[in-house]
Amino acid sequence: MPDRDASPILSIRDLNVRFGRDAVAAVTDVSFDIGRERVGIVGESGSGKSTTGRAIMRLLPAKAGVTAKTMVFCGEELLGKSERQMDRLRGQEMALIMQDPRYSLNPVLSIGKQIAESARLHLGLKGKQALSAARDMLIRVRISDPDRVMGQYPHQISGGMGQRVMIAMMLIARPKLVIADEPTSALDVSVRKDVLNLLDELVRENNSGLILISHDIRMVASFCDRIIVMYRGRIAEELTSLDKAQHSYTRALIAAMPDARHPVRRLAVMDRQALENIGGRVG
Amino acid sequence: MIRVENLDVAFGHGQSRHHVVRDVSFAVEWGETLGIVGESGCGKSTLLRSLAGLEGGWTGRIWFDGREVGRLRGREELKLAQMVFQDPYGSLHPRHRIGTALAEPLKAMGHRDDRERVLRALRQVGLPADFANRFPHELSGGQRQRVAIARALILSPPILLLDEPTSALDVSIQAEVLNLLADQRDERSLTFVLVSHDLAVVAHMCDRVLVMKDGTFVDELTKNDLQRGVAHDAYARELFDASFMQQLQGS
Repeated sequence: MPDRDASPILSIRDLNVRFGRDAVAAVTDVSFDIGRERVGIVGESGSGKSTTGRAIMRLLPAKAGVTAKTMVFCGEELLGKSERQMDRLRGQEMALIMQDPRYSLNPVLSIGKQIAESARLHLGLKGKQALSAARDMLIRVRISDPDRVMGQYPHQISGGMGQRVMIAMMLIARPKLVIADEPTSALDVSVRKDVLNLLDELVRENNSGLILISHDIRMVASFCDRIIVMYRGRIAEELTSLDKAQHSYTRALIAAMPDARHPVRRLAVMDRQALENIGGRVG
Repeated sequence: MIRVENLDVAFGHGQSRHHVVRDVSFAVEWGETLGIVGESGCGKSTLLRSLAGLEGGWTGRIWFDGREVGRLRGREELKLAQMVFQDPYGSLHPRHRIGTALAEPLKAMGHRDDRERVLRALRQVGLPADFANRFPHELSGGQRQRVAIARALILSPPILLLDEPTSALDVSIQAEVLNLLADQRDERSLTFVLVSHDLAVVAHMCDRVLVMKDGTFVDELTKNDLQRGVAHDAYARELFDASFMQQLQGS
């Protein structure tokens, strides 16, 4: 179906999220399309990047006011969906991978059971079949002795292995869209690359879209086809590479990062006042 | 300024004995900034805590400024080195005002409760004096780390031990805190030992970097090595590549 392949998986227009009745807007007029590609959303704490991810999954608390002109996922409008319809989509069609596997895995269920549960729910497999699907998936995420890991509990495995298990669980249903929210921030540097490469490989294989949410603009730049930079709830700009950065916030963000190969005596510091003044004109 | 010989730290006994730091020796010159990088569990924080006197179970010898210091530190020895931790929220008492938190080291060292000195310490780290009346939760993460730095510096120690001082902060705030540390170092000619997993931060701050793995140093890099991306040891090179994502393909 070449036609369907070219159309975006997710298309958002004017997404707004606010918490409380007249509190500050967390996300303002955010619009973007995601195709079968890897798109990064970067920004600092409070920029609205994670809130955007959760708004797509409809995982925000009830008190959050989420409005948008359209939010189309694979040809279906998400905004009018009931909680039950969303339940069917979540996990099956769209998956969320969070920062720390220690908090997103169930501590009292063995790894094998947790992945098998995913196979049961989303693939309709039963008993032995589900367990063997789980085992296959563990091999896919390059866990060398799957039988031992199947019987282990989350506290017995390392962070990097935990994140592999999360990826196995989330991708077993071959979702069309994967949202990874800081998937490597809790991991050691040497493990990060493996986890990202693995995620990339599986997402490509499934021909899905990937949204990588992170504070690390360099990591995102080396990994993603496109970068969406968020600042104070708005999209500051969209980039394909860091050297094309136009917006003063993006430039300040890049300049603030220490770089071993280009040493400076003092790091550039953001002029927040100046950014505030142009804040109203971004997007 | 700092000399360490045959420092060894192990936790537990018998079967569960865990050898964390294995017989390391190194020295740091006056005014030098030494970086120690490594991944979780390599022993870098334990090494720093031993230097700070927070870890009791070490063997070996440590000298600060030509004086040998022991496992239990007296007032004069504590005044030689102070520590800044990763999470400023965790290291400030939630129900003490900032002014009280800053006065604590002065009281512990037998000084009078000197308000003027507290306010001066706040100003030195770029915070307004009225912050002394605030509680930690009324400050942002970057401001809290400034308070932690002010508290470490209030006794004017010649040595500052920094354990991941900016890992919990946003990049733009990290830049401000690193600049503050560099300024204080130049102004007071301080000696730093900076422990971090972030090679970019370490390369920016340090004159010399030791790469730690499984309790020992596997490589030593000069500023020049870091700039050119040269590492002598295979593990150090791996760490290098991983942190700069050189091998990751965009598409």
